[in-house]
Amino acid sequence: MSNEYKILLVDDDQQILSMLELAFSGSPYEIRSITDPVKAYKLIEDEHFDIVITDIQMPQMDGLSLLKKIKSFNGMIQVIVMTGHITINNTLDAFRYGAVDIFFKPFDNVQELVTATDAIAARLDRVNIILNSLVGKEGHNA
Amino acid sequence: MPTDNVGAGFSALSSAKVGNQVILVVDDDFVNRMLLRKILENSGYAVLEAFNGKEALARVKADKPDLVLLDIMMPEMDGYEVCEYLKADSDTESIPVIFITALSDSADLVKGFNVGAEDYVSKPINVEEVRARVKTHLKLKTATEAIKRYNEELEQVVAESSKELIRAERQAAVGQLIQGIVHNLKGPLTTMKGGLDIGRKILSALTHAAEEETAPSQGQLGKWGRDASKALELTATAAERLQEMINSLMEKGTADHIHTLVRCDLNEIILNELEFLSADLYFKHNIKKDVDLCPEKPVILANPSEIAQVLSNLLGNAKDALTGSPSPTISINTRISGSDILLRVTDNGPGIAPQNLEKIFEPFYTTKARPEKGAKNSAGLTGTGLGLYMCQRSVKAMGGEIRAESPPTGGAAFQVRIPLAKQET
Ligand SMILES: Nc1ncnc2c1ncn2[C@@H]1O[C@H](COP(=O)(O)OP(=O)(O)OP(=O)(O)O)[C@@H](O)[C@H]1O
Ligand SMILES: [Mg+2]
Repeated sequence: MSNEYKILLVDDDQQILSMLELAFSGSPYEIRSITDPVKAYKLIEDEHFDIVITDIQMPQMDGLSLLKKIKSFNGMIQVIVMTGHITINNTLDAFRYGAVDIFFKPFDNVQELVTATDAIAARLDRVNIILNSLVGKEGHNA
Repeated sequence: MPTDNVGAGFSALSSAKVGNQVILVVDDDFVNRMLLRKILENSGYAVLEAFNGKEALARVKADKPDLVLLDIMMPEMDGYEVCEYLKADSDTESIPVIFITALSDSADLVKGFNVGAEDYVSKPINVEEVRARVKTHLKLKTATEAIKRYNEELEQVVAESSKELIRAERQAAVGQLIQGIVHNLKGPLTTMKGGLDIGRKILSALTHAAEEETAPSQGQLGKWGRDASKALELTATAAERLQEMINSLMEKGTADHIHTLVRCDLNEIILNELEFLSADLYFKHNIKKDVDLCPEKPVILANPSEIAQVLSNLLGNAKDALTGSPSPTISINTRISGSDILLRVTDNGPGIAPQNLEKIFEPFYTTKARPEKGAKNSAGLTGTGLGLYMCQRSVKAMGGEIRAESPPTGGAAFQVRIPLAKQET
């Protein structure tokens, strides 16, 4: 992986964020985390993020609305959603609105989330290579 | 046996036997007392006598007669004064007093009624008049007592069935809450499991390194150590949080069976209740909570689960009132006022019409659909209309009061005043 992707973790539970940061601590990504989805969206507008991992049930804005907003702001941003409230609707909506993956809390194994993120990063690598060759420019490496 | 009953259904009335009834005759004149005794005993009443005001008061206190026949003109303490004493004492105020008076001046009669006498008979004594008046007032008294008893019984019945309903309603609510509770438990559980996963991964990396017989670098070992201890710490904290949540749920579950009054901190109960209610995801995420609690510890003598129930009713009503509100906010504040604690729960919902401010405390008054019908009102709300009625009962039982306001600025405000507990000595 040539890119050091920027990942934003969003969950209203600070302990879960700390745990996720720890789970990603051996990965090559730049990790940021935030408990407030409204601030999360502002951050996404201001800074570039490649991957967002967000909870679905949160105060102020639920994760699905955040997902929709992110995807309409920049469809390239890859969003993984997490939920403790497993319903068919939640799951279908998540994919409908463009999530790449969904994880149910508590996780079977948090490493699966890391692995899934790695797979998304690998795909982003390939997408970037293709895009770069099409645009004919070298770089866009962060 | 009197045959004329006041209304059917009051069995106490039809079975009233005059023989049971005791009449106190108060007169300084021995001959009058003898005459009255004869008249009354012939009608089947038991008669007690007193020859002055002081003696009269003592006898009333001691023997609780059903009626007092009271002479006005007596030395030392006159009849008016005796009557005033009797009517001022809650133990004796319901005993009818009939004046015996030679005074025919209407001013004197007015004075008699002003001090609370029920009626008068004139001197010289007329047998029929005495019998008629006594009979009327005893019947009235019996009827009043029966109605009072009937009301008390009714209130008891209402209270009992309210409790039943509330229990049933709470069980239904628990069903709805379970989803929320489970969701809340998933948070710490996710952290715990995640912490374990991370720990296991480090352990397997270590085992792997040992099998390969290639010593990991100092830097790698250091990171594994730090990560492992962080993972353990996160797991431990999450486990504690889980334990706390379970404990507060257990308290909630068992507190209902305890009916003793204990010293408790109202602020603490408020915070616990808010924590408990955040199991309701709508309450947790969509409603802004302005909590402003007094810095002093407001200790009250109460049953904590009953207080929690009062709070949960008030907050539940506020939440209901805020359905569809653009920026739903509930304010909760406590403030010490003299020897009381004032709790205010305010919302910025539609408020309550002035003519309904009293009505909402009546049992079964609700603008929501009855839950057993499975129907919902236009806003999708259900209620039994017992919430505020029970709140008022509980608060009164604690020696406090509850009142509703709908300030012109909008929204509804509920104010609860509860006496603070005396300092422990
Ligand atoms: N904060 C409030 N704002 C507006 N109306 C209110 C508020 N609180 C209570 N009310 C009105 O008072 C009525 C009676 O409230 P109460 O709590 O006694 O019963 P309920 O909420 O209808 O049913 P439940 O038995 O489930 O509590 C409500 O139906 C509602 O019309
Ligand atoms: Mg209510």
